[in-house]
Amino acid sequence: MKQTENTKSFWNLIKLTPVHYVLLVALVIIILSLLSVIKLELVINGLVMGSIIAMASMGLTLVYGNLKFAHMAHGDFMTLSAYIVLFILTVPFHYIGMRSTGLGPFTFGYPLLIAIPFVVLVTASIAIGLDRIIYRRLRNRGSNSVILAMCSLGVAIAGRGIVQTIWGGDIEQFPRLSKLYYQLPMDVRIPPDAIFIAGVVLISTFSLHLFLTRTKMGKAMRATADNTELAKVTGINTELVIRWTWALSGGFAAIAGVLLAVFQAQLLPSMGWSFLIPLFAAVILGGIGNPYGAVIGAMIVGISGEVSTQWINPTYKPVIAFAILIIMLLLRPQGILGTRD
Amino acid sequence: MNLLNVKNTSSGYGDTEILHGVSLNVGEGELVTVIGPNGSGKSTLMKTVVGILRSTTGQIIFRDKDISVIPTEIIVRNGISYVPQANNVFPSLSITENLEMGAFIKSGNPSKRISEVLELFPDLVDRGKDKAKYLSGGQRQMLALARALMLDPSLLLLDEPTAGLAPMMINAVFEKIQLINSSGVAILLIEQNAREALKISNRAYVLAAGQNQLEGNGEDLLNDPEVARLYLGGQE
Repeated sequence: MKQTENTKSFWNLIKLTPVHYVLLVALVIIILSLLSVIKLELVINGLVMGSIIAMASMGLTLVYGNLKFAHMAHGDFMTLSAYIVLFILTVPFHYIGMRSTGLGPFTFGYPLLIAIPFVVLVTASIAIGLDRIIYRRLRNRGSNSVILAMCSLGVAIAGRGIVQTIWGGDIEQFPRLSKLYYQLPMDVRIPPDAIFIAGVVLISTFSLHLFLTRTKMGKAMRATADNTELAKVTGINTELVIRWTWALSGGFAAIAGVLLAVFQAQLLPSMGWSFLIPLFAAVILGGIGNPYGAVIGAMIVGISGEVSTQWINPTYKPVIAFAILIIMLLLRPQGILGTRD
Repeated sequence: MNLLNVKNTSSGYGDTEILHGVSLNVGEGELVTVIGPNGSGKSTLMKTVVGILRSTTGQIIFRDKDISVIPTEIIVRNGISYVPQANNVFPSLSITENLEMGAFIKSGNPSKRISEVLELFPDLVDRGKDKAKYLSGGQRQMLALARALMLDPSLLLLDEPTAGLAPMMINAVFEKIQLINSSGVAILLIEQNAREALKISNRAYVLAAGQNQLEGNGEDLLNDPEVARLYLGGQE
């Protein structure tokens, strides 16, 4: 008994919380920037990109945690929601005379703030609907995770096909009005949109944290991710938990899609699909199924991708995400916050 | 009156049938033990009662209602709590959260029930915020029992609650089982420590090869030389 106590306190001592990891990474980055090894502006860009990756990967990791399969259509949830917002801004809102650009220091207009909650609801409903029509049937039939993942790949391709059929395969411009960047010391320029993006992601992450730790459904979601069979025999309505998981996952992917559209200022039918590698890299890096890990993983993927452009051609950015993914799988397959059991 | 009545039930995994027409019953407030060699279908029986596995023949009657066709979560709602043999707590949830999940189907604040249940498990009282993964095997078993009691069940199914525990913990778990039973909760218990289990049981069943072999009250089976030779480790 005594030995158990000792072991426990030892692990408690060296147990790093997510906050420790964030501080550690931040410290390294600050030191490197002060030594002028890396450009701080690229780090800031990386943080913005990381925020968007975090937004989507939190949903992806929740789905993995509760349903135990890699949802390949997650990127296409992002694409679809970006296009839906584009439609809302350029057709109905434009028709009734709402100006879609230039709210304060931002490139976008206030109609975007109305469109976001709407598209969150739509994408969440699509996610729940997809589960009802496709994934739940496979689940009830006892299909394994590979079948489910392959099926979601089909959904991804179909989703992109639908976007291409409706909007065509060309690049669409997101409505925007160019605005001045904030000029900071150390030659750092921040686009005001980046502040908006970071703010939205911070609020969403904090809300998710409160949901998972303070509400009955959030706790049930964590319990189901821990052990689905035990959750069932405890009386937890796991189908309801799964619906909530899809709703959150779809909603978060929708926000991520819109933020990506705002940040990149243009839309492509493959924008979400090509985002899938950074998403999975972030999820695996943080520890599959752990939303806090996903945020940390996303920041690492986002920052290293952007900072790498200081030395290598930006076209190779996805290679960095791939490399991180492979290195992590080799060295610590359970991820930063994952546990082996 | 019988609380649970398993009638001629067969079940198994996929196409493999493990239980071949097993029958047993548990009365109100009774402590009934099922013993038998490994692979005799004891755990399968329990999983079938709670609806994780589906019976292919027979009926499972709980409080005059056939529960063999209803989902697990509704069975739990009707007053049956089940503690699986392994992985019976949520490791990343705190002790308090584990107990809250035990009361998931109840509306309202569960804190009153949590303190009631914790009176039975004083070791867990001050550790509410600790994650279950940091608990020892015995403490996990206690937490699993506590979680199962959150719903104030009328029947508790315990699948080898002492498996893998140190001798001191085994006694502690048996004491808790008796204590819970004396509060009026009927218990269906599967045990490898057959001698100790039979000592505290009202009645017991011997299961082998997925079929009923013997039944009787605990003391009688304990003193039966045939049972002792075959199922209690050969001691007279």
